[in-house]
Amino acid sequence: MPEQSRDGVLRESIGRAFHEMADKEQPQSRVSIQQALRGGRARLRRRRLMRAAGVPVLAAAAVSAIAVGSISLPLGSHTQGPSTGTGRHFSALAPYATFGWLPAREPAARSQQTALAQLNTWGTIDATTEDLNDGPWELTAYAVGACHRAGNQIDCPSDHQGLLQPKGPVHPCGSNDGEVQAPPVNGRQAFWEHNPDQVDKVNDGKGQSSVSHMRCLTWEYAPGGWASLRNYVEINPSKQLVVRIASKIRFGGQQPSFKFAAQFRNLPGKWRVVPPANFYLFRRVGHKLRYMGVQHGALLAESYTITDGATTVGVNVNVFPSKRSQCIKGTPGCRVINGYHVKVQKLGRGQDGRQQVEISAPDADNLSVSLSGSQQSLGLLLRVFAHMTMLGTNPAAWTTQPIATPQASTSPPPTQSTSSSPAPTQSTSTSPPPTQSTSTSPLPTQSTSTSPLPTQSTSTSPLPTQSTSTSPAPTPS
Amino acid sequence: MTQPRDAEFADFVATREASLRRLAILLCQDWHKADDLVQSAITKLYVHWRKAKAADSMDAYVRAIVVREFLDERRSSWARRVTLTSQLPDRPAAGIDPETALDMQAAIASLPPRQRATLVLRFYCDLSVEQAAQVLGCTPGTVKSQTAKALTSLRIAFSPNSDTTHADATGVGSSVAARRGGRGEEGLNHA
Repeated sequence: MPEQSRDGVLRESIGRAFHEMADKEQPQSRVSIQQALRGGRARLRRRRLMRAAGVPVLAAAAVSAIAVGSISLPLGSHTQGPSTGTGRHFSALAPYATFGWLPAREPAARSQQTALAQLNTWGTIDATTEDLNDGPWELTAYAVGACHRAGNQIDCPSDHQGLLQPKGPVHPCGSNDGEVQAPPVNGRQAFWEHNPDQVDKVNDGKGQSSVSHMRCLTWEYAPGGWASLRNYVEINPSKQLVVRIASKIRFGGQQPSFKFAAQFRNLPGKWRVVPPANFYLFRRVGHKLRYMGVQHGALLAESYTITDGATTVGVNVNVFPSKRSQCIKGTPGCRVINGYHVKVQKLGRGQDGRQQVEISAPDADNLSVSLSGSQQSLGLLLRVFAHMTMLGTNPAAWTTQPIATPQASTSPPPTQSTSSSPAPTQSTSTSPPPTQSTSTSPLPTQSTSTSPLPTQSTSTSPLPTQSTSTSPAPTPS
Repeated sequence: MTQPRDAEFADFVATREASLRRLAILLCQDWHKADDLVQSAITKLYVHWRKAKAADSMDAYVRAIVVREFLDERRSSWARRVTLTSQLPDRPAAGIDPETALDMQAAIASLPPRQRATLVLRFYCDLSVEQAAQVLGCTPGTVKSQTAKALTSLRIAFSPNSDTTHADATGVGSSVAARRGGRGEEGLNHA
């Protein structure tokens, strides 16, 4: 067949394939116009604020933040100063910072769909919605020793990828000009980024208008540990309010643990969760934040990394109310491991240039867990997957120990493969993935709370009461 | 002041949602990612609503947002941009397992995002080279070369005599040719 004609046939086939794909029945849409309205309004507002504050939008949006504050998980009254439990590295198992008090009008944890309630980093911001992702307070916390104060300047590490922020150190509030002494926070030095009372005249195109600088407080929460707090919605929240919120933020010490919806049991070798470096970073997927999210009032670890020292495996967890995926027996690329119907697929190349692969179990009753790593480690990934148990979508069944020690795990080891063969034998099991938890233990009380916000709690048992059981879910057969 | 704007926006999106999702699924090959893409795109549309309304064709304007958002996300996806440690593995580009790719849809899915977007614009949206270039924010020459590369990959993939070593970096050729050569069903088993 002549080249031109062959090309024509190919183009026709491509067009036909596209139309076939596009004409397939669409699953229920998760697109929300209301969310777009909220997000769009917030973005416009932020832009206006940034413009008014004289901060380039990109730079401001790029503040990679960082610690975790818990609006939805009141910590109770704590009058003590910052915990001495601060360190140079944050824990992978618990948040490092938690809002202890926020004004009652702040939104409460009601949305399941929100990825990250406590912090605003990249998220949309709108104080008027109930979507916690829209909460207006942004807390950025750096590990002890990460920032350095030299004279009138505080330098902290920037997003080390350097794509969103200029390389080199940054000020916790974004810029380094015009620091003004602020009232001490818990007895430690604090500064406003700008003079909070200063009003500048700017040309807004229609003549001169007055703008104030965005109020941002930077303070030393522990010797050598710096944090900043700002409000994206109100350009000038009251100084007393900012200082009060800052003074109630709790760093280090006892924090509500992250919850893990999957647990690795009886893993051969010494595996551990890799802690974040100097500061927490959150994945942004569209308008959503990932890494940890609030699900039913618990801090779900959504994206983390485990390592045995030699190999690193990325773990991603999704809890979403949606239809099951189509990974059923017989579908190409799908297989059964440890009772789960999983899909093995190639991804793009990683930063090291190596082909990446992913093993995902997308059809486990609205809980999707995937492991990813380099293709060279596929055999290991499969073996690791064989040791994984999904704990369902009920936070009561989640665990605080993503990697169970042999003593902690009460369930028998998976029957499948710790063999040296690169992949587990394709199981012919027709058993469905393990039923998700049938635990009757109640959901955390926070989850159903409709009360707006952690007004300063005086509870004596402030931490969430979710199970810390290490084997809450039935072991897959 | 925002009320009419909001109402107009909501009306527009409601009537276009299905077609935007269709476009997004062709780009992303995954409904969850497609919905995320549409969500981001319409949020951006709201921000640029006035500009969109002033555009010659609002549909073309939105389509451009969707495609660029898709490419931006791929280019600066979190995993490429941010790591918790230096060893964090990469996260998925859109994709169907090339090892199991038997048909045109799977082969298209295995193309690099930019090539796939080019094909979608050319052969699904029926845009000219110039129009596609405008949407992609590149030159017509780039559209032509991206199209040619994509077609070459697909042609190699579906050539009965294809030699796997001739397949390009997308892996399309190797996977389909390998399958046609009767290699195992689960190519990844051998990794």
